[in-house]
Amino acid sequence: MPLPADVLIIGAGPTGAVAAKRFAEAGMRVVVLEQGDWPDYSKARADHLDFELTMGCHWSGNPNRRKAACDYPIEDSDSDISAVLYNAVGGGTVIYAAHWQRNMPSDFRVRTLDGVGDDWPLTYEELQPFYERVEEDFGVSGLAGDPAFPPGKGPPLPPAPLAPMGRRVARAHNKLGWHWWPGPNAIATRAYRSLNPCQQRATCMWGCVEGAKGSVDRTHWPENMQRGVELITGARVQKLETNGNGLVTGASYVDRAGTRHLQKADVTVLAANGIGTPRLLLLSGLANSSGLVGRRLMMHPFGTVVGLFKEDLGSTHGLWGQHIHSLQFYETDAARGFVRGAKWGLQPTGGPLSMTRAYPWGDNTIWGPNFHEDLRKRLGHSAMWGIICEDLPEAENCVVLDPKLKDSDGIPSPKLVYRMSENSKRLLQFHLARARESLEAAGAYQTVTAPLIRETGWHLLGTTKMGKDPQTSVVDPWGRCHDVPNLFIYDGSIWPTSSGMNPTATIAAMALWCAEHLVQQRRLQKVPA
Amino acid sequence: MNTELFEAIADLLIPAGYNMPSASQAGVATTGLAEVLRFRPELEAQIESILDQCEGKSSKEALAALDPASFGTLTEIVASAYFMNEHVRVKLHYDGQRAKPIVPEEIDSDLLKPVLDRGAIFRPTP
Repeated sequence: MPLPADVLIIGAGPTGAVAAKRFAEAGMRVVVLEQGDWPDYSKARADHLDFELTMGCHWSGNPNRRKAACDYPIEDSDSDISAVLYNAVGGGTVIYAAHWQRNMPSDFRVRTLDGVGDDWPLTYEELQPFYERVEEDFGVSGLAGDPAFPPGKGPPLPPAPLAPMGRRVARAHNKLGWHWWPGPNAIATRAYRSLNPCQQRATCMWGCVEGAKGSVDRTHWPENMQRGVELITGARVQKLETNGNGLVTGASYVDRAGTRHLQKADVTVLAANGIGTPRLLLLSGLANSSGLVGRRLMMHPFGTVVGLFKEDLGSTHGLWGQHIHSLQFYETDAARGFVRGAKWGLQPTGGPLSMTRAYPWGDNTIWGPNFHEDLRKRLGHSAMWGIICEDLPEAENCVVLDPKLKDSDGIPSPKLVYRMSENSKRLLQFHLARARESLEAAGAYQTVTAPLIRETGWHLLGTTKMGKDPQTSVVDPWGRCHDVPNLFIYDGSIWPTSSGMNPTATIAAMALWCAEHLVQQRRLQKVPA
Repeated sequence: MNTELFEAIADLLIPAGYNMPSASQAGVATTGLAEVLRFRPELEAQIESILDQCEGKSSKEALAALDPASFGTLTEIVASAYFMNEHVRVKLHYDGQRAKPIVPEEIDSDLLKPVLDRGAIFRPTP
């Protein structure tokens, strides 16, 4: 029987990494269970001939397509968007594009300001010091002074080059009077701690061969383990165990050889993302007196607009990542016919094979007599806005246990039910239109609006809502489950609203916010006898 | 595998032109395909199945009759093989996703000034 832990963390993504670091610093004995393994960078082919051919295999974000041994199938036929996640040490940061976007102050006051959704039980100003702390650890690059945020300490590393595409669009936005700023990224622009400098291969989401991307398998876990954190990979948690006093005593899990184990702990923290966390709670029958476990799933509908330019922008390369971002239309303007907004990130478009694919080129197929002409128009001559749209919490959008589908260990799989609301659809259409205007103002002679594709559910949020009232929330403002005093949730499932930002920055800051509170209150913490 | 048929179909997708070779001239149906399958062996059964569907038709008819999923797989294989050809890459001036070190640069203050002059764009915490 393994030694009991002070804290058991389930999930080795960014949430688990940040929390484990804080707990280890506080001298706690930490055990982490992760169903995946360490990323295998020998399968990262950025510097090989076959990169574009193989990029979507090992590094595919869709577990239903990837079907790795550690993946569990997700039933998503009733969802407009397929979940994108990565079961490994590093979690979603292994495949994320590393856009580092704090939420804006208004994201924490959505009900008060816009009359929809809910307010968060904290403010931007309260979270700001935690953003600053985690940004040091993630090696965030960018430029202080962005007028889209309150003033404060900037990122530790200088911004990436704007690149010809960024300069063009920046000049255009200056003429339009629209916001832009050098893109914040969790990508090292020079050597920094365990990170090497980015080499602008534009392969960020498909295995960073340079070790420049701030993924927590690089930035956090090696040091965490040196601090004594025990990280057990290949450990698929089946159930949270409880005693007769309403406390969680730990978790039972199965290893890759099929052997079952029990890891006991005084406190358990769920860090298994907006699907894995509610799934585990539903499997365990815990923490659901509010009826909200699994409900209010938010997944950020995503749009893309590509601009074609006569000039060579060098856009086969760059940060993918973002060279600039724009928050011009982020804040609500009800005159637009919808509420909330979206963030735009300007990205390269990659190599020749990427110029032929249905995404982002849609019906503008390249095949046939115009192949070579169209290829040359696109290759290195295109830049794209990626648009992250805020979606509102809807009770009908949810994660439930599928009645039939199971994973390889016989554990019921999650099922997603998700429909884009009318607000989301109007919001997306508005932003696509403005993004086209942006690129045309920058000199694009043609724009291509990418088809909506399902596999864009990178951001899994809202399914164990945070709040002060146990009747309308699952966890309190510091992630403690209202129903189970020694069970905590720190990942994006606790978000009351989704913002329109890439969420990793706030996921990391919230993990530290919650962990810090537990450390400070540890003497008062109820634990099993 | 019917190499002739594959070449004919591939040349409809990527004909010669613009001083570039056609798919067949670039060896897509032979050495190119072998290279693709070296990295993606699971595609072999798929391309064989797709070409079986095309048998007995003209290359144009065959292409038009493919369902979207088969068309997507076919074009991915043809284009992958084409772009892995060294001769093609040289003509495209494309040498892969090679390292391009960041040269540190100051962001032009004249570019930033209009953004800063417009002031804050966020709604403060009420």
